[in-house]
Amino acid sequence: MSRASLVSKANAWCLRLGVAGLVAGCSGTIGDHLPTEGPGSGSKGGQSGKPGTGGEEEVVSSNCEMLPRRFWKLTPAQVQNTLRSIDANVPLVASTLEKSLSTTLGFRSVASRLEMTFPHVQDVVGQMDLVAQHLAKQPGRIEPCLSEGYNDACLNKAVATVGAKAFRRPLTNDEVATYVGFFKQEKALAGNEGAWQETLNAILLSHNTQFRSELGDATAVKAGVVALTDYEKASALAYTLTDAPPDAELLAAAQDGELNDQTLRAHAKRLLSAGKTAAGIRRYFEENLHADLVLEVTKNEMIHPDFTSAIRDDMVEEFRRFVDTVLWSDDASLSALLSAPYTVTNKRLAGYYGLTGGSSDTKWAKTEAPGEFRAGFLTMGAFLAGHGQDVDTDIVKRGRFIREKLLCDELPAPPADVNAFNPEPDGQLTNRERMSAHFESPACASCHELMDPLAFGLEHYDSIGRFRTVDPLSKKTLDTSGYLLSTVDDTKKNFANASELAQALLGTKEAHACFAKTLHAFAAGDDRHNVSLCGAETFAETLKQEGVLAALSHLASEPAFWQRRLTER
Amino acid sequence: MRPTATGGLSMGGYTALEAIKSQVSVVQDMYNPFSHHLHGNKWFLTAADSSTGGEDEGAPPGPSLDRAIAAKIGTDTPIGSLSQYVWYDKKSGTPSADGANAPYAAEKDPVVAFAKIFGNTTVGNDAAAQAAFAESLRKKKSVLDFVVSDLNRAAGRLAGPEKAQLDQYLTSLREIEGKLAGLGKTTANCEGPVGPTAAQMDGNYKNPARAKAVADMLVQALSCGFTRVVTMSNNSNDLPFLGSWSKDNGEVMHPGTHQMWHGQGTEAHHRAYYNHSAETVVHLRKRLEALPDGAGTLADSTLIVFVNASGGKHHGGQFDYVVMTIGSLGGKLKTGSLIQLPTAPVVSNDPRTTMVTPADAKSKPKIGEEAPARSIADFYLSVAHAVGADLKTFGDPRINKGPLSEMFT
Repeated sequence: MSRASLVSKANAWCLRLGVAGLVAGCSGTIGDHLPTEGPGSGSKGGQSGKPGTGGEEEVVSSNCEMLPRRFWKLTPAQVQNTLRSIDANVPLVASTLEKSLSTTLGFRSVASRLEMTFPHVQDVVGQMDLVAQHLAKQPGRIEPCLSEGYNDACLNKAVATVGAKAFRRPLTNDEVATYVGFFKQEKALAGNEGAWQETLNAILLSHNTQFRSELGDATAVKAGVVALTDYEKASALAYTLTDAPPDAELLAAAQDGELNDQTLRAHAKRLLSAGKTAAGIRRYFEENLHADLVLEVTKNEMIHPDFTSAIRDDMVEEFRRFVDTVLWSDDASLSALLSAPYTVTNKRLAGYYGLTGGSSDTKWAKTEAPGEFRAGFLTMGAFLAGHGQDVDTDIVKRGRFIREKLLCDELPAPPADVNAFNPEPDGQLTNRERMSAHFESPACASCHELMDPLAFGLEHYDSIGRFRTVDPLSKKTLDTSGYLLSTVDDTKKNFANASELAQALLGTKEAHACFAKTLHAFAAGDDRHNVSLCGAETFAETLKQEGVLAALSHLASEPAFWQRRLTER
Repeated sequence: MRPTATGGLSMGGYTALEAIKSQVSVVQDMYNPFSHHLHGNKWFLTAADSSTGGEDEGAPPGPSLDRAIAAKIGTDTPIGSLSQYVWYDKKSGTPSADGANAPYAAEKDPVVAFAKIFGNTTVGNDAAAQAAFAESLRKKKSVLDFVVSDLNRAAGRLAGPEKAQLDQYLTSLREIEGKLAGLGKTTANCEGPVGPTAAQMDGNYKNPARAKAVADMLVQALSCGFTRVVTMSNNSNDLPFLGSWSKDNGEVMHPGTHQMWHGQGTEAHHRAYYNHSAETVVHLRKRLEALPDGAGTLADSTLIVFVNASGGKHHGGQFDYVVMTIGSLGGKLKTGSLIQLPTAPVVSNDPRTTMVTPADAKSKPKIGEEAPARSIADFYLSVAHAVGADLKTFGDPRINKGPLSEMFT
């Protein structure tokens, strides 16, 4: 094969992938087929998993894929929050449970991911044993009558109480009887306290505790589709938005069969009204944007002595508070996320950035950051340092992140036999100048043109997230001009700096579509590439028109959120 | 670096292996079209394509060799298989998987791993301690029996795809039940397992003795009957004990496997890394040889498989795999030899070219050229058959032609 033909192939491949990723992004038309009123309205869907009813809806367009009936493993944080609903003082188990999960970037919670491996379940068993021990020590905290003895009536009540919190639904009479039977069997060998601890342990290890059920009522199937029960709807909504089990209001609504499209939307709005109750959505931003990478990256301590562990922690906290501010004090838009002229800092981080922030290291304050210094997420330390080399900036990594995470383009891996390490700083050239080799070969340029020029706009921010205008090694003034090359029509949008880079991104349909696609995938627990999920198109439109919080509230009332397709046995 | 057969088997750059070369077979010239740019070819034990999810994120495409073998020969041991990192490195993903989209976590901390494997196996001699231990086991087993029974009922009412999550949970709970059931037996035969010492753990990943600590622990798990399958991943982005080099700007760097696959570090660094792995293999073999097992030693019934995840290169390693087996399994496998696998001309629509990703196009053989005829999937299938795991195929069926008869006596 001649060199020329190889170059040609590589070039075509890189660009074609980008286009495919976009085209596949949003092609569903479910919005045109949605019923006006959903299941559950006016029904008594309460007791133990009866389905919401009332919909004679025509279900689903063939142009999109409906989510399947499924069990969905709770994340360690969700397990912790579920346990806290039983007793606020349960031991901390989430950090131990995290350690035995396979390391992965991307969303922590994906419904299809199989994570209950032996090493992890070994930890689940160990940690639930600890929690059962804790709960058994003070039985009266679960049900006061247990302080006085373990008679049948009290046991039934206690099992029903703790079971309902663990399972996020009332237990059936059979379930209560089974657990009470287990208690009686064990009592002969372990005594009352021992048997109660074992019973608690069995409840905590139940699949009803460790997983979210999204099965609906299989006896109420219409056209291969089933509606979730009201309790399942309540859990779906609560874990998605709050990372926690349904609160008392949501459970009461489920019990009364009141979870129709209107009330689901109202509950969603209620839960999304403050950062305190919407931790699940904050997690989307943290996981999609890899905010905690900054805690792990290696930096040269000789060259960057100011980049302390406290500053790393501050940067993660800054990101969280910034997202909270965008969502609950600003207009909850992609525009604010990428271009807000403020950040949120404590005194230490503000000093590090050269801004004026909180009055102490423990007090955080919204901090004005003029566009030429800071403008949105891409100019925050968590991103810049998390995607920087040990000494200098990392143009490829920053550019690749923008291309893949903010535009949802797929990029191929570097070609074979290419040394993908960045050239070392030599004191003569800026990092941008050293990267010029990427454009000398058409084979390299075909892909690097999609990444490097984006990151050029961020060259005013060094490897540890501080602002600069001159390269400290070469002493040259930094050039921050760049361009955004469209993978759809090959057009270029030029920009002069980070602020203009953000505006260039916001001016594309692809950035908005990507934001909608990833947020919808997060809520659906399905991050497969090139799959058009039902409800995604409507979600994208609402997101564009009304912002994150409104889109999520609408999503809660969409059939796609609470209908599931049956799979063949 | 590569071993040669000129004048008898010579271990090339793997000099540490000279000490046990009579037990070594080097199998060479296989292809693996899925060994594309994966920063360590994360799912190399699957012999299948993991092309989605990006270099650091991809999900496993199928079961890994260790888990597939464990599913066949590890069902009657307390633990199906153990997967263990040597170095703590957040970026290193586990190489083990139970199937597509089902990674099997590897333990990162030798001290924690030891506690999980051997915790509570050494009970004091006094009656009270033994009674408490027995009661604790009984309670745990009772709870698990109840939970498994409940789970069985629930899973039985669901369709295949719907119950995949529950089935996996069920399998893991049963493994734990098995471990508890086995604890009584193993405690009797397993005298005082010794955990990683302070000296081995001192300095964390900077300590080369860490690899031997992991090897020792895994040998004890084998000898105590806790498992029949163990996996060690000897991979890190920073290996300070190998020495350092200075970059042009004066910065001191330590070589890691990632950098070395990019061609960085000196030749001495590369040799030191490969030999560090080889020394660990030798240590493992010597430990097995020292443990009586029936009329012989544990080494007689154990096969060590030494695989380099990326064929010795970070990019384009599809045709440069150096793999070795150590041990004959009672004369079943050839030893002390270099097994040269056949090549065959590349033809039209040949999987050796059609499955190579465009990014790895440079190393793709041309039509008419001689290229390895057998794949890494064939090798893995051979290993499975050698240890008694009766798998029909392994990995991507398109590259799996069957076991390599050349490996067997």
